[in-house]
Amino acid sequence: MKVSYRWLKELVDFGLEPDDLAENLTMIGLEAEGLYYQKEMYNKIVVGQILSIKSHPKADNLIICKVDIGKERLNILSAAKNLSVGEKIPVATVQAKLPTGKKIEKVDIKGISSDGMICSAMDLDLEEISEGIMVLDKKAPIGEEIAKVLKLDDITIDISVAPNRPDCLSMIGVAREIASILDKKVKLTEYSVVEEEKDIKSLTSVVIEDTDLCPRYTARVVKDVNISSSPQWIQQKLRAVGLRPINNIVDITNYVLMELGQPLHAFDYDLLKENRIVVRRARDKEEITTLDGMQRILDNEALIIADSEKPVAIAGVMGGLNTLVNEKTKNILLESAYFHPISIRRTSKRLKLHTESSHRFERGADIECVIKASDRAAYLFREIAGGKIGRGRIDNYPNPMRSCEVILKTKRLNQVLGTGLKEKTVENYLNRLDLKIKKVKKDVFKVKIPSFRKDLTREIDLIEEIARLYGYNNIPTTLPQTKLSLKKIDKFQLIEKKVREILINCGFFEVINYSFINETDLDHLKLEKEDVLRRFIRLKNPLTTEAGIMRTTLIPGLLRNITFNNNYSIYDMKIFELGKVFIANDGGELPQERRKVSGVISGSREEKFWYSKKENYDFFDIKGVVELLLEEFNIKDKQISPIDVEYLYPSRAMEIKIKEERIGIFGQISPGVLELFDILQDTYVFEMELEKLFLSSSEDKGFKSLPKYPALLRDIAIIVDAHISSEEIIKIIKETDNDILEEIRLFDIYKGKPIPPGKKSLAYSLTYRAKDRTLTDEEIEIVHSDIIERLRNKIKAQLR
Amino acid sequence: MRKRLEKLKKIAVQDIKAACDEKALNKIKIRYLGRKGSLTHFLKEIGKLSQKERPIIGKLTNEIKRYLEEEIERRSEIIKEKSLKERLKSDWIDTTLGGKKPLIGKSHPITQVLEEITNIFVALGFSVVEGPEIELDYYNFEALNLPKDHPARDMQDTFYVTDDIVLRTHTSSVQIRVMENQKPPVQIIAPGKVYRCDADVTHSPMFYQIEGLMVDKGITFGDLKGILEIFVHSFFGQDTPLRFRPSFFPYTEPSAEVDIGCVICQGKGCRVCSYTGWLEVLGSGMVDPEVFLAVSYDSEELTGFAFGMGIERLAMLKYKIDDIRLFFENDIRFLKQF
Repeated sequence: MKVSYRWLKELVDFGLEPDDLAENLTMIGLEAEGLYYQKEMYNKIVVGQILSIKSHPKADNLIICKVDIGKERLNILSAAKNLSVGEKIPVATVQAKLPTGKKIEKVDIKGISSDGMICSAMDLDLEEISEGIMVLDKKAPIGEEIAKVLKLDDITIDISVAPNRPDCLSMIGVAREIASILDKKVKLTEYSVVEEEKDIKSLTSVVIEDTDLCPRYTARVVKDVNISSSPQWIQQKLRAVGLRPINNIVDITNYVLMELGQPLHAFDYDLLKENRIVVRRARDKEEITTLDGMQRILDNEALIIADSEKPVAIAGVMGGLNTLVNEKTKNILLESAYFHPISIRRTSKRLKLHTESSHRFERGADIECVIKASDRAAYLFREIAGGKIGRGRIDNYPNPMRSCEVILKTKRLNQVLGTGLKEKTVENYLNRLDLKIKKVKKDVFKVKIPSFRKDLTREIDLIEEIARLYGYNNIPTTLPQTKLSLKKIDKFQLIEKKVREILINCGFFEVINYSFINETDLDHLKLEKEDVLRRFIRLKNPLTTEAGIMRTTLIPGLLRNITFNNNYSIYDMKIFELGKVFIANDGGELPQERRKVSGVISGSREEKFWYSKKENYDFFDIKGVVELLLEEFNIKDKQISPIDVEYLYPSRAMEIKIKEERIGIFGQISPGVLELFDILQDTYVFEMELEKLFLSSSEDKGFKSLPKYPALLRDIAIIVDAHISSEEIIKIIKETDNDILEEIRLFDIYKGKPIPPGKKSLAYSLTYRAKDRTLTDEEIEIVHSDIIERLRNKIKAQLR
Repeated sequence: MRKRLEKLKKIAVQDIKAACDEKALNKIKIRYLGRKGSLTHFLKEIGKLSQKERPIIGKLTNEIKRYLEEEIERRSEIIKEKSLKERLKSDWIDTTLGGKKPLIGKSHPITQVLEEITNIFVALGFSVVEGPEIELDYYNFEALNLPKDHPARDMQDTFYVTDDIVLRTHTSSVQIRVMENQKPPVQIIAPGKVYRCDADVTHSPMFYQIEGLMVDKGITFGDLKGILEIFVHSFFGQDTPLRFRPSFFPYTEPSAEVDIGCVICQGKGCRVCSYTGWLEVLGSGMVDPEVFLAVSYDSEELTGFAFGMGIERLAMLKYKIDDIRLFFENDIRFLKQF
């Protein structure tokens, strides 16, 4: 809501400078979001007087004017036809910037230079279209700033009005707030409505068919108006509050709207069929062309204003083109009504048509203000447009609204705020707010709420009012008096924290992606139709179709992060994300929200340094991370086994199961998928369900006392068929019946000469240790040779 | 014999002094003291001497032996010291080369700020709870005194899944779920992702919020101010000015916006604070009785306060980041800076 500083000064007597006023409004809850000095739009535009006019020797359509602007005389070229010597005109000097955005520079046209521009009202953005130059009053002082002469030096304050304060969507409302801060009264203009025409009943009638949507409708008729432009004082005020003057009738309705906050509509009386008004729901598919020229198709939930046959306005939203006040209009029917907020809001939303009028009606106008607004506008129609006002008015108000009364207890007020305000102080604040109060008993007030403060319905609302006026910053700052109790932290927060720590220590960077993904991302992962990851939630109103569904997996996001970084020539990275994925449930229920952790490893281990080589990541880098996570969470009964995953490289994909339930997968992204995501380098991924990981984790660290006796190491190097898996060999080694084999570590794998083709050489280091004694070579030899024997028998291992 | 011994000693001492490394010294040791060394040779010859001479020469020989041993030891020390010095001198490295930095990762800046804030409130006795990100309209709006068709819904552009299911627009929805399941007193914070259909330099369709709620008998607006003052001072610094000003949220009454002195210009006025010197960082207020009604709390007996803040905004102010989208692009060069 834009308010005019000068207009406010007319309504309340205050001495605050614009900055201070803005600050005061902010601190009472009307946040001032901007302060605009109107005159800044007219910088370097001054009053000039034409001293002489010559025609341009080489350009027929141009004249050369010598113009006095006080401190100097300028030569200015113009194409205007209405200029004569001695006239005063607005001159935009070199470097001025017109409100329309045009910059004035020194120009040269066919050998004659021009030091500025003589402006029309259109150039100054005061008219839509101008014929000729704007001629100023003869008394305008030469050289004076045009902003001052035309009174375009008001200051506009843009304030943010909360949805519960429609009363502040008007100058009078904001003035009331200022008055309450400064403990003053709002000055109301006095006027009387002179009615000279026939009785309204003989001129028109109003029927409200749907009183649920239109509790009150009033009409006045004003005859014989002269349509022209409004007087300057109205134009100036409208401009200062951000409205463009149109003609006197429309300007008056807008003026009253801004002054009192009551939307009005003026119909061309003669264009209303049978000169009468019917307020009713629209018929299904009924059409109206609104005054913005758009054809609107209505449904039967929309409330319309009709004449005897057709819609002439969408109630409370916008008028129709068919009855618009135009230059031929003689007689006017003025509507001032109250429409039901929800109805207006629905219609405005459905039509995507938000107007000054709908903005106020949907927040709740003041039902008791409709008469005042109607009278005010009628008065101005007579004063300004010379209209004759019909006697009386139609006021269709079948169920008058009852005023509301609220009890306020000083004790409660102090309890909520933590203050020690006295009854007298509270009374004073209530008075300042224009609230009528009755003291019921000591410290208890019965407060009568005026119709424009519909937001005040409960004691707490009044407590807020007192707090606002008292000043939030004057309320003492305290700390809660509360009993100690053990506070819990969500267990999943703790597990996320732990996973995060482990991965960061592994060199991963944490990323955060939007929870929305593109549906085609799932196609890119080549997921089957029945895959659970395809049970996604779709948004009804996504920002873009690329963000149309809620993610069911973190993997596409991470792959997109790789692509993004690739665009900046970053190919090597380890990144992970912790977050929720969403799996749709059948029916209208909320989806399952599952916490997942996923990480990708892409490119090579590190840049080449003076101490290290660049080495590509491989499958075992991702596997190592998974193993580490499972170890750190003490997961027992886990199985890691090969599996086929659509988006993973065949034979380089594994699943992690705990007690037969899959909790995650890992492997290398298949080349086909990489291509779809525009990734060139090998990439490895893991994804795990955090909740399942957590439920299987154990706090028991399985502590063992530290060994007292030394360990002995023995190495075995064997040659076996190349396809025999490491797992198989370790199983055989472990089969040996003993309790002294402590650890098996594979420390070398070798293929190639001199190992025969189809074979590989493996070297294991075995650690032997007994709990209760130092082992002898003989003891170890028995076990060790048994192991060798088994390897020989079972997989035909040859010793190297 | 004695003369020969003295001569041997003299020569031996010269040899020892001339030895310049451990190897040469060892050779000398063998030459004189070894099994076949000169001195050993003398010792063997002692037997041939007269009864009278034998002890004298024997003693002398042993003395010389001990003396030479000591000399060799001394020399050895000197040589060792010298060679160590030389080795250390020749083992020069360029210590200005970059160190071999272990490669560790980092948590996302949002996570870091979220943790910092969470820790402050946990220290003040708040529990941390979470709630669903896809939420029923009831929990996100209706129970928070935001009925359907209420203009205040325009304050939050909502993503809809169905007419009754939304992506939560604030973590305030968690308030209701907690109060439905827990008797007062309540003292919680609810961090998490929230969603609004809006995207530009300062708005992201997904962002993080922390919501706080404290309900008990006797909680006042003054207490709200106290808790938030502690928070602002611990997060932005002890000297950060703050002010409370009236605002509107359907779920609190009275409602307050919390401004802090602009951290960019120290309150002098700059582009970031729109030349006001103040930055809006928190929304807050006393829990509206309608909200208590929705969760069947007695609003005559209980009072409470709630507050909410956007984490990205706080992170942007803290790290002087000017574009919210940087948080979700996940450019490694960005992530490495925090």
